[in-house]
Amino acid sequence: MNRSIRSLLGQRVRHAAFGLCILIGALVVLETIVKFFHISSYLLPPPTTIFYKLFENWGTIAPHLMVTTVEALTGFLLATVIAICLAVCCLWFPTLEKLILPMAVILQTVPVIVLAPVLVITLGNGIASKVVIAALIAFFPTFINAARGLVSIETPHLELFQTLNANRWQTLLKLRVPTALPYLFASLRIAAANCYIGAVIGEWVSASKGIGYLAQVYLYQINIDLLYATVLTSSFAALAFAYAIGLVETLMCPWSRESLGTQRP
Amino acid sequence: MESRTDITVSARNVGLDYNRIHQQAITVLRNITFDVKRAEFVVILGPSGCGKTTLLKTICGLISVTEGELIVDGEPPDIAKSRHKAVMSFQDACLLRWRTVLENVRLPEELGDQRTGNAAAMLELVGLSAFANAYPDELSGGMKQRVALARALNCQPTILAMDEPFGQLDEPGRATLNDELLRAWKNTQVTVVFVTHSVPEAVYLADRIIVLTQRPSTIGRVIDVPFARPRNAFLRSDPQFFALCNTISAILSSPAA
Ligand SMILES: Nc1ncnc2c1ncn2[C@@H]1O[C@H](COP(=O)(O)OP(=O)(O)O)[C@@H](O)[C@H]1O
Ligand SMILES: [Mg+2]
Repeated sequence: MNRSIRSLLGQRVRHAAFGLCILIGALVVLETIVKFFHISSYLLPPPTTIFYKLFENWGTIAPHLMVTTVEALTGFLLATVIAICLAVCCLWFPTLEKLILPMAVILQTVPVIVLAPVLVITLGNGIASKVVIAALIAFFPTFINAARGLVSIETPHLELFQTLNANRWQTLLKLRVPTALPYLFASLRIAAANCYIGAVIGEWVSASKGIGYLAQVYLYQINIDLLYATVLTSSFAALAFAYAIGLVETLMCPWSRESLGTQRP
Repeated sequence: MESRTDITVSARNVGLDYNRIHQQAITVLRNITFDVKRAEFVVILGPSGCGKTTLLKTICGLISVTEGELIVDGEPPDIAKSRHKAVMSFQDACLLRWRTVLENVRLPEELGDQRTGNAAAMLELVGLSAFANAYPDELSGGMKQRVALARALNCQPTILAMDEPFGQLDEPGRATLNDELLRAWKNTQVTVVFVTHSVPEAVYLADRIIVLTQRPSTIGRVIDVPFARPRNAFLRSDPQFFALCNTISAILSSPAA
């Protein structure tokens, strides 16, 4: 299996390299358009300018990116742990699911931008409010997919575990969890992007550091180049995080069709 | 008392109704009485939907009978199940794709209270030692069924209930696996209750064939299969073999069945 994991990882790296090439191509096109039509840099700064500014101001931006990353990852972790635990509870106590699901949906339909100020008021404008906002926005897809994945085993497999006299923990750990992993990872990648959005929104509402805070400062200074540069760093961080999750998926469940990538209908 | 240890499955007037959601309950089994002797090979035949799978599930303690008495190795089926005495194998091999072949065969050792077993020996018995570290996705349908057989045998069951295990295989593959199964059966002295819809397969394997009627099903006929063991491919071209197959096919297709 070692060899096949290596080849799967290689495949992932190739996919990423391909994505990077597309991205660079798109940037080149964008650059040409901006230069060709003389678009004002207030509206859309040329990519080269943005990257130049980014390198120039990296020393300023980096600490803020660090803060946002800590908030986002803490929120992600919190959301993942709670979502998985709740999904298992829902599996074993179906009435609980009828209770939790509507609440989760309601929570999801309330715009975070409305919820964020409330949370900042209750939790203060430190890191805690951002972690909670990040967790809130990362929670929903993970919970839904984990709950779905845990029940998506086939009846014969369940009967096999019954006939082998497995108890509920054994059925959970040796059958349900492995079956749910591909579902879970699909949503973890969404959550990886979401948690950065959550953290940045929280900072935007009220903070003294972080990407959201810095972006707001640049916006008020009408420093559009740096605004773009700042926001881009968190986008790239989220992208890298989602990519890392994909690598973990390949290592943890190489059997998943998703990560095999070759058996699509 | 002595006769009791000779009998592994004893059904007395067994009946079973399925309670269905939003529908009337249906009676699947009715008044079923039979015994299976220790180390006997019994095949169950019957029209599709008559309750063969259901009958196996009651023997293995997956569902309980609603009428009559069913005793498995001297105990109620659910107790027998909890001691890994009666184990069911399915039409689909039901292998876990995240485990290697050997890890799949080892599964029963990790479940329930059972902590013994010999996965490597069971794999050897079905001739798949060379594939111990392969993954199920890399195996053919026949090989998967052999792994499933090894896994079931690794429970060291008293009774092995098999539900159309080779139904999805082609004829030659099925014949090979029939021979493998007979060899494993002889080596382990396990009692086999085997469901199939192939009459030749039934005749080739069985000591005794139980023919069920249409639902609500009861036992239509019990046929002793007289052919000597060990059986081999020559039997399949024996005129007596054909004759018995024809007789049973006639019973199955008669309206009374
Ligand atoms: N869980 C269940 N609930 C309700 N009815 C069932 C259930 N399982 C099987 N049945 C019904 O019981 C009958 C017998 O099913 P089954 O034992 O699978 O038949 P066979 O294996 O002989 O084809 C069928 O009519 C089927 O629709
Ligand atoms: Mg059936």
